[in-house]
Amino acid sequence: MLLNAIITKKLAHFDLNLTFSCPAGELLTLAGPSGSGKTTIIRILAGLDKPDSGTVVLGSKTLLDSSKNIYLEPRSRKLGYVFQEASLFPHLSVYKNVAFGCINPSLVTPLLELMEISHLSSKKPAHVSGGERQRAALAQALASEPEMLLLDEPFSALDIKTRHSLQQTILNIKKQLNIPIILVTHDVQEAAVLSDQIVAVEDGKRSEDWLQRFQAIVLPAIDRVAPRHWLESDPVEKLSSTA
Amino acid sequence: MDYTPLVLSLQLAGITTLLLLLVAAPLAYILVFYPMRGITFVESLLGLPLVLPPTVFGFFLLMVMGPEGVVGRLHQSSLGSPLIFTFGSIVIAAMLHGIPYAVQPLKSIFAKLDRRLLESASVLGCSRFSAFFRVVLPNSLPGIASAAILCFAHTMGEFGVILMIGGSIPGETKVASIAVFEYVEAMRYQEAWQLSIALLLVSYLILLAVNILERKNHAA
Repeated sequence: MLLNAIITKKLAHFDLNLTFSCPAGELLTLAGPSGSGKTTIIRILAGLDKPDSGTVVLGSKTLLDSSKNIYLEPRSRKLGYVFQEASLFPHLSVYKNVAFGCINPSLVTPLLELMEISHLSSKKPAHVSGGERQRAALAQALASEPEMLLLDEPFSALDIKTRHSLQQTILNIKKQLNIPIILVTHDVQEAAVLSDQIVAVEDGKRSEDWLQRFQAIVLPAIDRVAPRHWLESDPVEKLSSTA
Repeated sequence: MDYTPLVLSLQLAGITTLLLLLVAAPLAYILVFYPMRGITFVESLLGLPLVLPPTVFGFFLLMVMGPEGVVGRLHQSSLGSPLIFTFGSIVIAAMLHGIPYAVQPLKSIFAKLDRRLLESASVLGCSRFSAFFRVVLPNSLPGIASAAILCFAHTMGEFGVILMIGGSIPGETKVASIAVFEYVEAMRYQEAWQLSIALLLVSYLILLAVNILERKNHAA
């Protein structure tokens, strides 16, 4: 399943104008400084914002085509979306949060195990840590069996250890999920570790300069820190064995 | 001492509050989260009871619900009895007059909700209708309770509108506020005192409940 997106939108300080594609099983990162339009792009993919013009096609399904007046509501897009700060429902337990959009309830327990939060099932989001909330949010997004996963700076508010652990989880599930994953981040290190493809965005457009600066300075540094070192267990194995 | 007017007031306030919440909660939800073109005109219309004198508001209702009014004639032809001067008519009047008192606090409660919760629900496959019941209502319960108590209190104190639509029929439309007025007019001050003290106590308990709930809301 391939994602193809062409997005144009006039924003307050610049025009957003971007084209990109992401095949299933790959992670595309929209990287760039704050305020460059990254979150607007991911919100347009989710259907939470509308572009002035453009198309978003996922496999054979057209989510958006402004020329044909096609706009699929977010609820009909079959997406998983993890927000910057976990937007779990405060009145529901972690278990019920994960099960919220779930079509197949038997997925909930394996996902809680995959995210290593089974012991928090009965707790309300207010009573778990930020990292655990993001794990629950990721489980919630996956429980709806999405055809595309959108991650909007999901780790930016977490401490470095928790961030690395969650990044490792994403790396592990990426191929298994076999859907396009779009990550928004301003953390270049995170982009280098997780991505199969990086689209550098500056003022709403692709920025080769930004990417070159990024490649020259950050990638050599990343090479010295192998991301696999952060792996402590293989959660995908757990999911496959319980499924 | 006849406490029937007080019981009638409590019945009227209870039924009106329940019906008001059923109407006002979805209305406030739409006004806050899905405002449509021309919504300002609708909001201004809904706010009229706040500024119109109750007798004037009651007069308009009388013209619509009375034997010559559109609704009154419809009621008479379908049920064979007049609408005004019945308990049902004062429930309708109290509801219409109480709409802004329910909608405004509910709007403020809903406006405080984190919109990402609704966005998240939407991405997870929830319709707007379903999100209202699964996300908005459960996360607004303390505020809804405050709004309900305020509606109840407001209806307990209704006078002008009820007098215009229901008159003063004992056991049917003669609520506590009207009974007190009549006792004073007839210089039956002892009964007026007793009923007024009873109303005062009920009103104080209501305000106490509102304040306790608000404190709990702030603490949460």
